[in-house]
Amino acid sequence: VPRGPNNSVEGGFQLATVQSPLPPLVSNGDFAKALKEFAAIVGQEWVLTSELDRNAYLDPFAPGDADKHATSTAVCPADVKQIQAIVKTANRYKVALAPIATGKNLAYGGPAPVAYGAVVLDLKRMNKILELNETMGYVLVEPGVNFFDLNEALVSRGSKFWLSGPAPGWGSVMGNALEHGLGYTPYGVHADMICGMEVVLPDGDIVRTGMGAVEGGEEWQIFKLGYGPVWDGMFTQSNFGIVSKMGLWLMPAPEAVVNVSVEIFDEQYVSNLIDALRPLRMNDTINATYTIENPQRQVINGMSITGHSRYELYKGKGAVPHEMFVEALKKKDMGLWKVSFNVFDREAGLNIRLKAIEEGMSKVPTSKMTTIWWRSGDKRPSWLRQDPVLTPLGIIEWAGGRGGHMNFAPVSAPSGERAMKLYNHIQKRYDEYGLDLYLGMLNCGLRSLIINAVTIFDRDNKDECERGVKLYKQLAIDGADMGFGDYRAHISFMDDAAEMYRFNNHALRRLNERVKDALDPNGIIAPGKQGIWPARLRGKRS
Amino acid sequence: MRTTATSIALLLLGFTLQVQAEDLPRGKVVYDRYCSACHNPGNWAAFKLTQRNGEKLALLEQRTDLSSALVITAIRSGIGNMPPYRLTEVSNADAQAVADYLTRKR
Repeated sequence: VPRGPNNSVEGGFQLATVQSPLPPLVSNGDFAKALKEFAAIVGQEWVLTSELDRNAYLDPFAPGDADKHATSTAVCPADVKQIQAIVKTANRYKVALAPIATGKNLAYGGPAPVAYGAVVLDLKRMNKILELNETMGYVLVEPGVNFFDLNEALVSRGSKFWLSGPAPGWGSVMGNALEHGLGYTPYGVHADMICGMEVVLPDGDIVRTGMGAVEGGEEWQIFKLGYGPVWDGMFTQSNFGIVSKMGLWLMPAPEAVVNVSVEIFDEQYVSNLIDALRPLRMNDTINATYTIENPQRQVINGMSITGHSRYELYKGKGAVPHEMFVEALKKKDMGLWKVSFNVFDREAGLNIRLKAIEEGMSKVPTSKMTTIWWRSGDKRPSWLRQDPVLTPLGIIEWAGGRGGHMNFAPVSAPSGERAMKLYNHIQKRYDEYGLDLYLGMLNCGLRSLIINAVTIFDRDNKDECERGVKLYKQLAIDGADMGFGDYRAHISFMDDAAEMYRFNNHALRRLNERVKDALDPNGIIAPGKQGIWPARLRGKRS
Repeated sequence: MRTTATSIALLLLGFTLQVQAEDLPRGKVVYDRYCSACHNPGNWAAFKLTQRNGEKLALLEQRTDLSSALVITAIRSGIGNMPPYRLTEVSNADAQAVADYLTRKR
């Protein structure tokens, strides 16, 4: 029976059940006082303590026991003043708060906190598009706005601007950019498109970054640099504050777009493909993110999004033999590896770009290039990625049960030799751990690749989950030994990923900790996020 | 003050839903927003349910065997590969509206 605002436990909160953890280092008595104060701020109906409600904040893709990251309760403010008041109460009782925007950062922990028992600060109710500026091309959003909302706003207005969305569209526009999410347009490095933030600091003070610090100005979402240090980056992938508003630049709608796919039919030439793409991306001929897919990824995509699972291809133990993926692609006359991307310009410009791309790709042996055109006024096909979908989440069907996936995603220079050295090592480890390597090399900006190794697992298969977790931890050590660092990590692996950044006895982590302790002396905001633990909880680092 | 002629202020999600709701039952509006991306024809969950249940039981909007309790439990607790929707995403009233819509008499 669902509980909620109108039918939660009469007269108070469910507390101290076996399933209900406490926030770290907080007594039951203090927590009860904090909950009462939270209820006075947001209304009792928005302090969610029932087991059913708390379960909705578990990681739906947890690799293993989701309860390791269970919340004690969720508090759901409606505006920034309520956030400030909650933060003040949290400081008083040293209650850890884990802010989430829409909680859809799936594969990285979803709505769950890193620290067991932390109170989730659910910002989904703050779902306004505060401004959509058609002259200057930006939006100012609250945390709860997702890509469906933004698309709806743009379409209903007949906007001259397009969004740049991630693969699945139900995540937060703000949260995605803050977590360094990527899209498939010229504006695809979303963190680079952030322009101006409003942040509630851990002591409840409010700051506006960049030109937002000028009173009465109109340039908050126009000029990133402001005056003095640029703080925006400090509030991305961090736990130094709670972002309550964020500006994001929007891309002017293009006159035309071409979708380009280049398949290669012999695996030994992947390295050539990476090297051929590099100059074309660096000089912006290819002016949006490209994705290189390995054979496994192509087969798994084809099967899983139409509801088919691994066991239909292979019933044996361990990873599906590589030859089976190769065979499946050959049967369909598909290349073994593929790169795909969209190019944006007016038609004449696209013809010039395509000529250069064709010349570059012709140097890659066994390659075959195909193109599809879209022109302004045509119906928008799915490959434009303008109308958000959830289709990519379907890859978890590959597991054959209740699925999930987790990613090891180190950054590599776009050099065939370096990227393939890493790829070959990752493939070797996946074979060793008996797991299928679903891999995409995701181009990020003009000069980098993210080697995104995805493990799809059956959540109810304990052995498979354990192997996946051990594999990630092994790869994090291997990657660091080879000179690589992960760009993003699941809540269970945030310490492992931070550990990869070793220079000068982890000087970067020590700096992060010094900033954390200065801004957040009580350590209340998202302890452990990105491997940054406050002084009082530093012993919890794994 | 910001330039108002070129700006849309306070574009509320609730406002958008309200406009759509003038012509459609609330449950249909909520279904379209929160369920259709996976459950409409050609989408991921529709494929999966076809495989599991056969074509007759694949599309939620066409099914006549659903109970209100099942729909609400699926929304609140998740089911199979579907994650739950939290109260901040779908209110109890909206969850009930979806259940009413999917179990309506036809």
